[in-house]
Amino acid sequence: MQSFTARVSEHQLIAGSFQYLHLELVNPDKIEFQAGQYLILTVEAAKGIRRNYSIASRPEMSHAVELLVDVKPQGSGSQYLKNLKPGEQVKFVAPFGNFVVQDACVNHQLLFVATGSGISPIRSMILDLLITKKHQGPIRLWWGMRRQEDCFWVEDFDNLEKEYQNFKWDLILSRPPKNWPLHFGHVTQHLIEYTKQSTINPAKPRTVWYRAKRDPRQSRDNQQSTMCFYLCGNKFMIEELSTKLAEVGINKEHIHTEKFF
Amino acid sequence: MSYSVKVLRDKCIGAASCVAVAPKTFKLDSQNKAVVIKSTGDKDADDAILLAAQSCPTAAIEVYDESGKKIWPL
Repeated sequence: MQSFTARVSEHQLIAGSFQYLHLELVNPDKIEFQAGQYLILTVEAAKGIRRNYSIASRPEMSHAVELLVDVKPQGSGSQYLKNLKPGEQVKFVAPFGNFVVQDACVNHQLLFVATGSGISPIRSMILDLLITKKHQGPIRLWWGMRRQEDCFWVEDFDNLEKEYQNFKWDLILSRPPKNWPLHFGHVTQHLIEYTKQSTINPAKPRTVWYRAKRDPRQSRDNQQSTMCFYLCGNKFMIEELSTKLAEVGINKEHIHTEKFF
Repeated sequence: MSYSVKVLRDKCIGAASCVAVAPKTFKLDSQNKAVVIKSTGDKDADDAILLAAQSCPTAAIEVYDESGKKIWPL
């Protein structure tokens, strides 16, 4: 781990209680980390209070880090981040965490699930896979949010889907507006449905193939490959989804999680 | 300097930040609560232990210096 000083070069309220910060490194001026890792930010130096934030940018952008934070909790970290202005300096220690794409998973179908600001490390991982590592295998993302007005980065992920044939994603709203044309409900139900209808599960080699019923894209995703799951967000989603994935036969070694508190 | 630590179990929510920062000092037990690992020689540096405590979202870790004085939380 290493201590860093960085300068706020951009701070935006992007939707609802979600804020984006771009921190340009000052000393040292470069950082090495793996996509999915986090930093520990000093939020009250006098009291020694620090808080953990996942790095949302990809590692190739080594001169800066991007953060996506939900300031709704209103704790020490939220208060500090809300008041940061461009030009101000911050201090953090990095990198930490094991929520990274495992080498053993790169030949599998990669399934990412995020709720709210849990998209942060997952964005880093997906950008790193597609842009830096030019990963060719199938990548799916399900992102659960509450309301349409809270959503952000939708166009960015749509553009990634257009540019990279192996990337597919779905936004799922739990409180959609009337006549919402896209997916609604909770990410758990959508992912379990996809898992049940999709490929052979290695834990149950005699599992019968199921033909995808609703989403024609799933038929393109179907391969005789194992799935690796990366879940990030609130602990209830992670615990529920981990349990349900185990119930449909997914080996827990193929489930990687990062709970946000 | 050699810090000692104590985990306030009732405050621990299993965030595991301490485990990530000081893996030779902390681990999660079967109930997903942080516990202090009994030292077998190889130790985390004191600054890593303090960082682990400071990054705990619920201030569930107390850190004491060699004289027994509590240095975290303040």
